Amino acid sequence: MSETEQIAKLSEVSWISDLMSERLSASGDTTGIPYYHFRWKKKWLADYVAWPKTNEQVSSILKYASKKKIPIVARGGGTCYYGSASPTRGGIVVDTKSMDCILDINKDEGWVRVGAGAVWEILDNELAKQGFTTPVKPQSGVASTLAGWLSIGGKAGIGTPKYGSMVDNVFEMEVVRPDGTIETVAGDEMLPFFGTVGIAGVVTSIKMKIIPVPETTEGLMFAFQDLERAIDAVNRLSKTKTPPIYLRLTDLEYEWRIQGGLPPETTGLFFVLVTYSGETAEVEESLKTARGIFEVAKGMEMQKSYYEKNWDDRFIVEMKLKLEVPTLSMQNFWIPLDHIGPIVKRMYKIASKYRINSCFYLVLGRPNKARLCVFAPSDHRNWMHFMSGKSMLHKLVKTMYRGGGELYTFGLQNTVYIKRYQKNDYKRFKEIRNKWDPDGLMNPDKLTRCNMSYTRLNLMFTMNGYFRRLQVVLRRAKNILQIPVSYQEAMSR
Amino acid sequence: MRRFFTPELDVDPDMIVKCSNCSTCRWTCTSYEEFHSEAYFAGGRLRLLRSYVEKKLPIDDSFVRAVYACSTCEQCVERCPIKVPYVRIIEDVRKKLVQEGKGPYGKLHVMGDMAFQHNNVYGEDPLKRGDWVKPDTKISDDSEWGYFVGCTASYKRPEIADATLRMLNYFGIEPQILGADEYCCCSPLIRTGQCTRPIYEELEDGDKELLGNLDVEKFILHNVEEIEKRGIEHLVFSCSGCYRTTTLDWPKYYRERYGILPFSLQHLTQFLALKIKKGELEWKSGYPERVTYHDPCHLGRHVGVFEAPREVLRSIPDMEFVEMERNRENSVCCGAGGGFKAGFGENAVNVAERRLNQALDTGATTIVSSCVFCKLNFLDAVKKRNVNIKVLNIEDLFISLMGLG
Ligand SMILES: Cc1cc2nc3c(=O)[nH]c(=O)nc-3n(C[C@H](O)[C@H](O)[C@H](O)COP(=O)(O)OP(=O)(O)OC[C@H]3O[C@@H](n4cnc5c(N)ncnc54)[C@H](O)[C@@H]3O)c2cc1C
Ligand code: SF4
Ligand code: SF4
Repeated sequence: MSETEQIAKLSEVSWISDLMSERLSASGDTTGIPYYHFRWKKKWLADYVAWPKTNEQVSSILKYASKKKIPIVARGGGTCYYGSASPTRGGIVVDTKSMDCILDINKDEGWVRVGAGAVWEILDNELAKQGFTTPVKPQSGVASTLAGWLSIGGKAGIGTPKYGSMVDNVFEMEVVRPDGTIETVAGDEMLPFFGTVGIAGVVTSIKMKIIPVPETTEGLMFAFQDLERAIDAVNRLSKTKTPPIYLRLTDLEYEWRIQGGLPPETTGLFFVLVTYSGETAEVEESLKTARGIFEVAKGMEMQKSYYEKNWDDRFIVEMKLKLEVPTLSMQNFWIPLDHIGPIVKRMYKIASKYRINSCFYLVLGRPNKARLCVFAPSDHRNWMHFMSGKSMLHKLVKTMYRGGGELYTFGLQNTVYIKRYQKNDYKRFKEIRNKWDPDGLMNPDKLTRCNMSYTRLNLMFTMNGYFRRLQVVLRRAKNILQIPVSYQEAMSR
Repeated sequence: MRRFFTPELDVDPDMIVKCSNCSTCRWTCTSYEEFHSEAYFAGGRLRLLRSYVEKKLPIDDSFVRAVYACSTCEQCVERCPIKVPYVRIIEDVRKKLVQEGKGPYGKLHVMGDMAFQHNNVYGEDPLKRGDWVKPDTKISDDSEWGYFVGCTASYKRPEIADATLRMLNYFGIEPQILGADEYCCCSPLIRTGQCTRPIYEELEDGDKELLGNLDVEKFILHNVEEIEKRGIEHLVFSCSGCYRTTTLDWPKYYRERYGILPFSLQHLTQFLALKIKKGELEWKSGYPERVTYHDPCHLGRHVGVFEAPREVLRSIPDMEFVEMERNRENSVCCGAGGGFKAGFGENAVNVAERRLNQALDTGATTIVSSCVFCKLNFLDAVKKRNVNIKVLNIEDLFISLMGLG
């Protein structure tokens, strides 16, 4: 079959497969226990997997699918949470990772045109050979793709406090509309593709900003006894003249789980890591300012080697939490820095009430707004414990909406919340869907429709909360992981 | 802990649920780079395994193929944030598939059949295993040094066996070799899950007759007994696969019942590096070329020998030694291990070709390795794809620079 020829029968196309192993492997994502979410999906298994290499091939699949009314799910690295890149009504999974070549590069104007399925790390390795790098990237950059991050909004990661979101770094994109039309979009025309999980079409190539590899990259890490002071430091650091490229706030349990404990002679319950890059003199100046801010907030400087260990682990920290537990439930929020305190405090309170583990980490997106990830490490084979973690996350979502903020990633499971709480976004997503994909074939059941009702969900988690409390009262609620002693003492104070 | 795995695929649930599906191990994976499908990298295979088990799906050919299209190179384990012991898991799965009669994949069973009948995986005459020894080299029957040759060097690449023997002779060692008493080390069998398996003969009328049971433990015990019987105290290896299996797998079968192995093991690169450290090696000539080193997975990532071969190469006069972009722990697999070459021949050559191109990117004119399998696969790529690079093993370099070849 030639590239532009219409697809008559999927099974005759060499780059499309219906083998069970291919369908299964392309139907999952980072969701820890796929079967827990089966009830959210009508058909969790893809019927076909396609590996197009060009936009013409993408176009031919989309034309075929729109004619035959077959659902399409674009798939990048599959690292997104909440079933974003997994099918809900079968159909064709379009694996974009074979569209990953550098198509053009202009070092004078500072841009690269690259296949949208390029993995960040591979792209950065290639750019580095020419002395360049991408200004922003997610912490899943070792596996995720450019279009994958773009499609979930790409707001907080490495580089974002200084260079902005993904949307600020893309000049132009080539896309295939749900009806198979190939188009080049720029400016506001690109917006329907940011954070909309592929409902407006499949992105096939991106022209994005590149910057010279910075002269120096250095940072600091400080420990705090007090959450308010740590947040205050983060707040101030986010507003400095030269913003950091990475700013992270974590708690003790998080550090404990990912690094196996703190360095000797370090105490603290909250930890702020800040990294700057640029010209050496500028970085030195920024570090001086940061140290001043930390000292005013009464932070305690941590060993350089501990900072370096954390910085080196920046692409794997989120997953390192799984070192000790088989199941990692998490929720992530996109919230103003001022609203973090109440959520974190509520998290500790509920976790202690339910006798479960919990921890958080926060990464600054842009001044005053951050991605807050709240984790409930568990083992789904201990069902009550696992569900209690989920209940806690549900309660925190409600707390978050009361205080102001939104969810960071929507995907499948969080669509239920946007429908209820983010009414304007829900309306916008519906408009995009109606305009570009009136048949609802592109990534169905995401953003605009949900198989689970909020009332049912709320009832389930509320009931679960009551049962767990009962277990605790009857002394039958065992925790999965030990909690660091100093932490327990401080939290109970 | 409740086991929720089907009898068909009984693997340790604690291991498998560890994988977070983060895909950090994907793009560096030997088989993903070749097949570009999520069923063909560690995280994807574990996802598959879990789906087959949780959904109680019947094992089909596509699953078996995916499970076997892996060179067990351990690049994924190196990358994994959680250190999921993927290779151990997949070897268990392969074992289970063989037990259930669903594996091994394709023609890989021939290796098991041949080993059962001829004690080597190539089906060669076991009595000719030592025929590679040339009259101008020396072996003995009372030395405390032994040389474990392996099936591939014995039958397919005798020049490697010869070079190794000459190297040992140069240092005054006349090692014992086991000859017909050396059985396969079992690396190809263990890697492909053929640890125990009934062996049948196809009769003319289409029926099958049971010949017996292949059991790697018997091979291992036989080898250990032969080595011990001959009073060998130090065993040298030229094959990284044999060395890995003897170091990591033999003790598993041997130790539980018989205690620790009664001899020490060293790879020839370690042997040479020690000689250099002791000042016992003076190169007779130099190698005035740009050279890069390819870490065999079995010697490097599996056993941790990264520096010894580099120390040897760096000591060679006039040589310009350069590293490839991916080296040591991050080295790329050559594509020959884990039954990949035997099961997916052309794909294995593609993998080797890519690695050779990475070597060429450094400007090197020679790629040196220290594994029989890597050399075999690289030479195939040179021949079939016309890659313009010299492929040598360290022992080849040794005998040529010392004027022993
Ligand atoms: C370890 C780890 C760290 C993470 N760190 C961060 C972080 O720092 N910041 C952050 O924001 N997120 C982070 N995430 C979440 C996730 O990795 C990101 O959202 C990631 O960018 C998703 O990219 P992907 O290529 O894996 O996309 P996928 O998961 O494959 O897809 C994501 C969504 O995009 C759609 N899509 C994919 N490709 C296309 C295309 N070509 N055209 C149209 N739609 C498409 C899919 O349908 C899906 O809805 C992290 C996740 C992990 C596992
Ligand atoms: S062992 Fe090698 S080939 Fe197999 S999955 Fe891991 S990286 Fe890929
Ligand atoms: S094996 Fe490790 S690196 Fe690979 S997907 Fe699983 S957790 Fe991630």
